Amino acid sequence: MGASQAAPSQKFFTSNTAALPPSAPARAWWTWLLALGVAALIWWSFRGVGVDLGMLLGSESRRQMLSYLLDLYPPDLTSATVRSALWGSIETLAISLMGTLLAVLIALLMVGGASRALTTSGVLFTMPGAGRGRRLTLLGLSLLARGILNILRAIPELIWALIFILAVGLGPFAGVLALGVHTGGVLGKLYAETVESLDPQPLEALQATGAGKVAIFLYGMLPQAAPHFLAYGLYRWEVNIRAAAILGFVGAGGLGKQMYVSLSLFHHHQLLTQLLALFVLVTFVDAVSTWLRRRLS
Amino acid sequence: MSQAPATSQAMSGTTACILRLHLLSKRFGSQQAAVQGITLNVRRGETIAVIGPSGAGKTTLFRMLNLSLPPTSGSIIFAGSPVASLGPKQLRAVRRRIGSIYQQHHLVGRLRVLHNVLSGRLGRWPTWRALLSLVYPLDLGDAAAALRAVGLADKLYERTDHLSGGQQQRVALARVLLQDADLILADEPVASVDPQLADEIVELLVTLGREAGKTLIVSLHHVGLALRYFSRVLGLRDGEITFDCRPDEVTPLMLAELYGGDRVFGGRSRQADHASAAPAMPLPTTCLHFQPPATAT
Repeated sequence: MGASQAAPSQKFFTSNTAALPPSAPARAWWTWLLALGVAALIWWSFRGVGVDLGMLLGSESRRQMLSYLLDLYPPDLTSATVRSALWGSIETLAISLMGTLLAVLIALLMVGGASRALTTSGVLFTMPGAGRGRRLTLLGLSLLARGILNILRAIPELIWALIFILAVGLGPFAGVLALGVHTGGVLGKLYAETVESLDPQPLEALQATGAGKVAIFLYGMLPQAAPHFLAYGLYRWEVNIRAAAILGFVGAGGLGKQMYVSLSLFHHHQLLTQLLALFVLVTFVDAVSTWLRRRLS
Repeated sequence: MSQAPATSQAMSGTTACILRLHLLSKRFGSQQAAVQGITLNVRRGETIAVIGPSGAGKTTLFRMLNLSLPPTSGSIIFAGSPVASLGPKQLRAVRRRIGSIYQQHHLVGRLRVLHNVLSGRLGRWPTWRALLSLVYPLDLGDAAAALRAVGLADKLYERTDHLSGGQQQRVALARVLLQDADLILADEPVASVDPQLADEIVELLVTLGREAGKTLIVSLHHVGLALRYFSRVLGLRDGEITFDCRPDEVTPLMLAELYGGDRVFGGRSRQADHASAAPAMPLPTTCLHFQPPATAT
């Protein structure tokens, strides 16, 4: 970093000024417009949500937060509380696991319709072959599948949980359905995009043997995409363990339900026990998932 | 270029020809045509080598012949039926009769060898059999026999991407054997293996093809292999056929013109000269398409 090191590179650059590369082509005007638009959006959001650091860190609020946190200590370690926190953790784990499995199932069922690679474009659609009617049918199917996924994804787990509680009553089952349906929408989109970005050459080779689309999916796409499908599923499981805890607040069982009760009844020490259980659970799931995903790649 | 094949077609009739190309061209976007105006008759049981420098249009021609890429203009007639007019079902039926081997194998690396070999059956199997076979392999005896024929009997359950390049090419060969196609196309099948292995694989391909009475079209980088193993040699340069001969008729001059950097003679001038120079003789015994450089006439 000294002058002695800078000197040769300086010379290198000065001696080459004659052969300067042509300057980069000017950016299109809309690039600047886009950047300006994004900046305006951020400013507007900042104003809109009423960011007030004084309110967050002011002396009065600081004192209140601190006293609340101090009130939580110590955790309630009586065997009844610990046992129920343990049981709640297991229930939350089960909800997240079943919910994610349901989501993977939904995504796998939808990926055939939602992926453009299987309905409208890409290596399987280079030859004219199919008639106009067939192409329109496939396009319609694809739009329908992607529309359904959009709806599943756009409605948050919490709202799905309220809907399913009306349908199947309070309890973990409603939580499983809520997680499964929302995450199914998320995974369905990710899976469809994965299938669209696979190496097309083995697919072309399979098509050249006269294989049909389902067979090409099974023999060419699924083996290539499987590790990605699994990795996305595991990542969403990490997200869902946290979501499953929240769902308890609206009555979908597990650790969340206990925390809601503790919060409402000001059982501070029990709340801390439950928070610690949740912390252990989330850390555990993250570790397992990360370990599995690393083994996949 | 249309004159000579028209004559030969009249002489040989249509039934003996498994494949007829008429003024076949492919243009990508506004670039120079990758393949232009190829007219060719291929008889059943012929073994044809296509040689030429890289960028001559071999792969583009190959992808049109195995019905992966639609031509910009011209027609392909396979076993008497023009492929442009085929519906999806018939297209699959024709593809089933054309086997393909690729330079980069185009196998599915994460599948076991046996499934890659069995994927040669996908054109024939209904979907439920394709699905079942992934769980409980069907036609296992045939797959094992095909692997024995290519000298990989012990690799049946290996994961495909654990095999060497040469071994993977043999797996691709076994897949084509299982497909039991009438016409076998191979695009630079040995470009990425070492020379000795290249010799073995080409010999294996030609021997297996001859034994089963298949028609073979193989593009090669290696002139020696083309002249040694094939009954007919085509020279391809700039998307056009420069000669079409028996191997013993190929002269050093033809090869020099094919591979030489002398693009002075290439392209249009050669074609303009063509009509008067082409001797109209029946395929495949006679040198048909060789044109001496423009300066020599």
